[in-house]
This record gives sequence, structure tokens and C-alpha cells, in this order.
Amino acid sequence: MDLWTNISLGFSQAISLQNLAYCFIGALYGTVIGVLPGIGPLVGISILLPITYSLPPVSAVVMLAGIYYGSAYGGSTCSILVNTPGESSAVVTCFDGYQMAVQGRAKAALATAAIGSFFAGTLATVAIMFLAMPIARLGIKFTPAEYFSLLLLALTMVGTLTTESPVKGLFTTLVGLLLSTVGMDLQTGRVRFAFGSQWLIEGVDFIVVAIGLFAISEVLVQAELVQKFGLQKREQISGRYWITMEELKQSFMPYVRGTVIGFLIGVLPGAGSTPATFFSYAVEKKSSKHPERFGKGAIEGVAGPEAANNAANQGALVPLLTLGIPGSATTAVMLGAFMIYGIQPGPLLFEKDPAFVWTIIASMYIGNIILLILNLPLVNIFAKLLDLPAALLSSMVLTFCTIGVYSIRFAVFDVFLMIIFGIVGYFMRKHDYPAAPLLLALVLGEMMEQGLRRALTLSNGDWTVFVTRPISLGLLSISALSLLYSVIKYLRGKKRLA
Amino acid sequence: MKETGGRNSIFTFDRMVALTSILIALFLIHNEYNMPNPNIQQTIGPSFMPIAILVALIFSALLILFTSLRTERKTGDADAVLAEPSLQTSAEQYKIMGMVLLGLVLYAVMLVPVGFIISTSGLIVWQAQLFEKGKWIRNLAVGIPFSILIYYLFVHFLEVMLPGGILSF
Repeated sequence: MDLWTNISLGFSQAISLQNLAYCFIGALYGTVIGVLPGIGPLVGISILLPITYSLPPVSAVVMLAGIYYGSAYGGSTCSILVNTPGESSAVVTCFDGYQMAVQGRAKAALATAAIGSFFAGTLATVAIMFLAMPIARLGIKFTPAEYFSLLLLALTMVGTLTTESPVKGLFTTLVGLLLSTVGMDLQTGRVRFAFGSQWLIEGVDFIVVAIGLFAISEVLVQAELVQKFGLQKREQISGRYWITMEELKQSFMPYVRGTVIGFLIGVLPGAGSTPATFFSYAVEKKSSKHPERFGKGAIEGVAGPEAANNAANQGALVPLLTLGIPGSATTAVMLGAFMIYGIQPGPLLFEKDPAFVWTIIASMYIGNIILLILNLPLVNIFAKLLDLPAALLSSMVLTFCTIGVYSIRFAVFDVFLMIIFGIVGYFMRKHDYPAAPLLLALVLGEMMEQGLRRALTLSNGDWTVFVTRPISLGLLSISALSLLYSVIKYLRGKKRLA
Repeated sequence: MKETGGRNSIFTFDRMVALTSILIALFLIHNEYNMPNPNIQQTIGPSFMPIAILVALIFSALLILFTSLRTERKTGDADAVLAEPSLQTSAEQYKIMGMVLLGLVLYAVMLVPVGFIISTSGLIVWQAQLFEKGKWIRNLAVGIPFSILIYYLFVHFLEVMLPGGILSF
């Protein structure tokens, strides 16, 4: 089937009333969790997962995708109005966005963020459309050996590149892999590391770990901050015009550059949207004739990073959909969700169920339009969420986290496990142990082990299969390079201080 | 936003993490090594991956140990800005976080026997008190309807069975 047949197939399904409704719910919910500080897409999706099990898979995925890219729209609202980034990818938007709000230009900041997100989200979806088939075709040639090498690459890149301290990134990756081995081994039925607990025989659920590490630890951090700084007030949205022609003109090139930068960084596993936003900000500042305006309310400083953020988010869906490889913690949770629905994303999915993949891609165009409407004329309504007392908000978050974890298999055991991971996550944050690699490793660990064992079974126990096949060798070499990079970084750091 | 005063404590933390994980890893390797292996002919059995991971874990813990013994190098990264971890946490702050956790543990214990509605209302009031003193009426006025609404929504609309406890309907 050619591209256009696929796209029209996708659209014909995406505009069904049911899928439109779930796309809208996803976009709405995504905007809400984006606006609220402390709940990002990762936690938002994790909490919601258990109640999506009964939905038709395609609607559930349309909704999850909506939450995923929708939260990036909402994230800017909190940065601009409260100067508090809801997630790390919204940090940069605070620099100039909040300054614009202080100067009474909140509307222009919100508008450029929403339009930039729409621009980038839509263009990136076009890019996904054209890239998906070629990459999936390449992926179809993969044997278990290539898959194992590819998973290893994703893990080493996330572990070593997303963090300031690759040594700690490596450490948390390994802890995640170890957690993935807990429970019954699929091939032999032997139980590992369960220590007599009937719950651990089924393994450690990634949702429990995700909510503990990311949401519970966040509530703890907020409790700590409130004790120290008190509650924060937000800036008001005032002024007559959303955005002037002049401001739109100033924003246009940053949109274009941000989209390209974001998409390229997003497609690579490991980088994620945060570095994309910082990179875009740096590019805008460098290419500006008046770099001194940055940090004092330059609209380009909002436009570029916001476009980059959305483009990077969409870009990260390329390896997820075409190869089944997540490049970030949030996409790892989405992969986990896919598997619960019984869908194995990857090249075979494009062959076996093109309607499924293309419906999701088509729904992204629709979702971005819905989000533009939600985040421009209706932004006032969402901004009201920021007036919600932090005291009540945090307890509601705890309630939803508990329901999310409890309803996986109706086990209070999991709730206690979540609390333990919350405490661990708090200390990990305090001491710069990155949580994303741990979660990614937990989701990918089982696939990796199965890939390794299957590859060795196919090669009759010959380990050279990983280096004699060219693609596998290439992937392993890049993993080795990224490990080498972290060793060099480690040694350099030592030298600088010596 | 980071305070530099807590350097000594971070040394201790990293070292503790490294040493404990090495000890745990050795114990787990020993444990896994002595496991009876199934009689299925395989190139690598169920013990291979866990032991390989544990060996690598010991290696990376040693790296952390060496790093922390040598020097401490700190740069601000995005996540650090987000979490704003001032490295020194006061006793007051630990107390408030301890109370949050205590509330959560009590919630988990009470959830099934007492039921969702009462436990959740309790959690909300408890939690809100920690963040903001007073305002009992507001917290109760939000907490109770919120709990009932969520219970009803999940049980009757989303078909997720939440524990009814003594108030099931």
C-alpha cells in the first residue's frame, strides 16, 4: 500500500466519533496535567493506564498519544504564569515566558507557545508519516541479534547521555535491568528474586515504579519546598490582543529552527525533549541581533524552545512506532501500555495492522488542532487550575496515584511498593541519580533478555552472531562509543578538578 | 539554587549507596548461583542475565565509590533546576516529609478494611494540613465530595472496583 492509501485509511478511522472523543479526552487531560505543576505526561499516563484496559486498543492509544503531546502544550502555561516548570522540558520557557508575563505580555507568550507547539506538532507529524515506512522496512530485516543490540543501544544512550553523571546513569540503568528479572522466567518457569512473595512472582510492575519514582517523590519534594518557600502566586492574563503581526513574524523563524532541531534530537534515543529546548534556546540567542534581550522577555526565547519541545516529543514516537524502541521514560511507559493491550509496536505492526498505526498518526493532526483551540482561546480556564491550593492538589495527586497502582491487580502490596519507590526516588533526585534510565531499563529488560536468548538459540550458542551481522555490529559500536564518551567525560571531569 | 554546604553529606550518601549495593549484589549472586537450574538444554539459562547484571552493577558501584572518594563535581542540569534539591534538608523538612509518608502508609493500611471514601477523605484532610495549617472546613468540604465522586466514577462508570469497606454502595 502506498502512503496516500495509508493516510486516507488512517483518517477514515480517526474521524470516527469514538476515536475523536478519545482524542479529545486525551488532549484535554494532557493539557490539564501539563498545566498542573508536578504531574507530567509520564505520571499522567501511568495513573490512567489501568482504566484503559477495557477500551479498544486503537482508541486507548489515540488517547495516550493525545496525553503525551498534549501535556507539552499545557506545560508552557505553568512556566509562563507561575515561573514554575511543570517538567524539565518546560524550564527554558520560564526564562523569557515569565518575564513577558511580568511585563503584562502573558497573552503573547501563551499565544506564541501554543502556535509554535501547533506548528511543530503538525510538521513533525508530516515527518513521521514520511519516515515511518522506510524505517519500518529496515526494521523488518532485524533478527533477535539486531534487536538485542538496538535495545542495548537505547539503554546505554539514555543512561549515559541524559545525565550529568553517566556513572550514576549506568548504575540506575543496571538497577532497572535487575528489577526486570524479578519474577518468573518466561522460558523455564523458574522464579527469580521473589523471596517467597507471591506478588513478586509476577514481577515488579513498571507502573508502580513509574508512579513511585516520579510522582510520590515529587510530592515529597513539594512538601519540602512549601515548608521552605511557602506557596506561590501566579501572574494574570491581561491585555487585549493575543499576539501582534510583528510578534508572529519574530516567532516564525524560531518555530522553523526549533522544529528541525527538536525533531532531529527527538528521533535519537536518549536525548529527549529537554536538551532540544536548551539547544533551541541557545541557537535563538546566538542568531539574534540583540542577544541581550534574552532572559528579559524575548519572544523568540519562548517560540523556539516550545516548537523544539513538541517536535522532539513527536520525533520520539518514530523509533517507538517503527522499531518498538522507546527513547525516553515516557515513551517507555507508552511501550509498556502497548504491550498490555497486546500490541507489539515495530515493523511487523505496519504490515499486519496498518489501520492501527495510521489511525494513530492521523489522530495526531486532529489532536494538534484540538490542542490549539484548548490552549489559545480557552487557556484562561486552564490557568484557573493554577489557583487550586497546592495543599489539596497534592493530596488529590496521591489519591490518583494510589488508585492507579492499586487497580493494576487490586493489591495493597503494590501500594507499599509504590511508597518505597517514592522514598528511593526522592533520594535519587537529591543526589542526581537519574530515574529515567531505571524505568526504561525495567520496561526493556525482559525484551532484552528474551532477545539475547533467542539470538543465541538461533545461532546454536554462537556468541559471534552479535558482531558478524553488520547492523548489529554497527549498533553495538555506537553503544560502545557512548560508553566511551562517558568514560572520557568522567576522566576529563577529574582532570579539571585536579 | 544548590547549597554547597552539604558536600560532606553527599560523599557519605554516594559511598553508602555503592557499598550497600555491592554487598546486596554479592548476596544475590551467591543466592542465584546456588539455585537449582532446570533441565532444559539452553545456551544461557535463567541465571545468566541476573548474574551478568549484578556483576556489572558491582562494577558501576565501584566507579561511584571511586568518583566519590576522588572528588565531587557538580553542575546544574535541567532536572536539578526542576527539583531544586537544596542538598541540606532541615529537620523540619524531614518531619513534614515523614508525615506525608506516614499519611500514605496509613492510607494504604486503611484502604481495604475501612474503604475508599473514608480513607481518602482522611488522606486529603491530613495532607492539606501538612501543606497549609487550618482551613478545616474547606478541606473537609472538598475532601468528602471529592472522595464520593471519585468512588462513584470509578466503580459505576469506569468499572474499577475500589474497596467499599464499611460504606460500600
